[in-house]
Amino acid sequence: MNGQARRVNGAARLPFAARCALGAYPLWWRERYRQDQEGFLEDLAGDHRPLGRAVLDLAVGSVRVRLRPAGMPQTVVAWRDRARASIAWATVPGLAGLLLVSAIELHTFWGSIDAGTGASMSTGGRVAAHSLIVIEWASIAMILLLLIGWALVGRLADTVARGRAAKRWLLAVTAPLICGVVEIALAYLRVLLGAHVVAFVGGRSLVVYRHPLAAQAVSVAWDAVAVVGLLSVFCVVLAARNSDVPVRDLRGGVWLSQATAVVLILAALASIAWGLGVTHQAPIPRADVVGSGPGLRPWSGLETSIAAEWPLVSAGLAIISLVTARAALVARRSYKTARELVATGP
Amino acid sequence: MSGRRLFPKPDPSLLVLSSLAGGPKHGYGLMKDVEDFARVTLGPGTVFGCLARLEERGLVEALEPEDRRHPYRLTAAGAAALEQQLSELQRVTATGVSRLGEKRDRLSNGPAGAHT
Repeated sequence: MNGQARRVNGAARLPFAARCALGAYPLWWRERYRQDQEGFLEDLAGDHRPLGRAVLDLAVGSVRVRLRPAGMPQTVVAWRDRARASIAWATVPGLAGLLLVSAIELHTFWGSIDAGTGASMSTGGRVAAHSLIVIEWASIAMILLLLIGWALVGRLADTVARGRAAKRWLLAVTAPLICGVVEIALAYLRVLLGAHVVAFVGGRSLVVYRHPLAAQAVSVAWDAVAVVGLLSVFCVVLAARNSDVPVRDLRGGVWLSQATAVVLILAALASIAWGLGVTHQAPIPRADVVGSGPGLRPWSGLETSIAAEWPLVSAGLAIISLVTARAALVARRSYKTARELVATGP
Repeated sequence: MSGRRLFPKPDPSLLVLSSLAGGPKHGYGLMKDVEDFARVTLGPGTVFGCLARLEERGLVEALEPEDRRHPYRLTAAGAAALEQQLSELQRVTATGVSRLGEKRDRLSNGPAGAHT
């Protein structure tokens, strides 16, 4: 059996988790050490030793190699790939950040912090209200950055080979757009299906549909498409990964990753301030609430519902912002090194 | 009593260099050798991470692959670095062992000796 066939058979024999861990290493590493590592795992399996610890060690090792690329060749392609991967690491987690920020905004929509303004706001309440403004601007900025990122990925179309690969690439890049259009259509369909009675029961809005079963089905479809839409962003990352992007075109991505990091750090800090502020605001008497309506809850209700969630939301945002900031720094350094290597020639 | 180790495990790079001092080995052979002499199990991520770092510094070098596995061998610079590191460790070990011996002698000579 020749080496190539053995390699294919050997890799196929390895468990899925092992192949994933091996695939988590950067390309330059896989080109250099993949066969050695596969051989290691095969020998381990041949001695009937468990692979679990080895796979975990590989996964941890892949993170280490991405953080500190010891032995990385000084080639334009290697540093370009590192910059590209770092841009993805710096921008894609921003989507999760957007979801977390939406969770905060959902709370404030129903609880309406503004309803208490000027009534009995303590310093905590004022800090919460101001932090919320920062969070709202941060969410708008994140959406703008997402759109800019998408436009930047779209520019890479010229670097993709024509034919079938180009069609697949186009489909991957337009997947979030297709999902967005379907979401809008489904939302409109849900409106068409009813909502003829809107009642407020116990501070919650209750929408009664003329065709409840159909409305339920549309809601489930909406949720499913939303999940697919979020996952499809990874298709964009894969599409960008498969394109042979020149180093100079990464400049926009580096800028985008730095901007995403700044916005996420601001959102994380504002989220912490918002949570602390809300929990330190004493309940506002309902009589003092400005613009009180059946859909508004008094502050005390808001405080109770936020108390359990804001540390989780803030911790999530803090972790995402740290990952993003680190990746943005690596992206900048890698881009600069790649540019220097381009300038000095092969 | 805490279940954590008082002293951390030996540095994997030192173990890898010590193993390669005995002759060229590929990843798995190296892991088994380290397991035999140091009773430490190194995973493939750690072994090849170490080898990459050592190779980058010119302390080890890869040989032609045998059955898809590259054997690695110590370079002259690697041997010098290992010798220096081991002699430092040996100094610490020798001092510790000798002082332990003195302490044991004092304890066995009675309480008066223990206070001196």
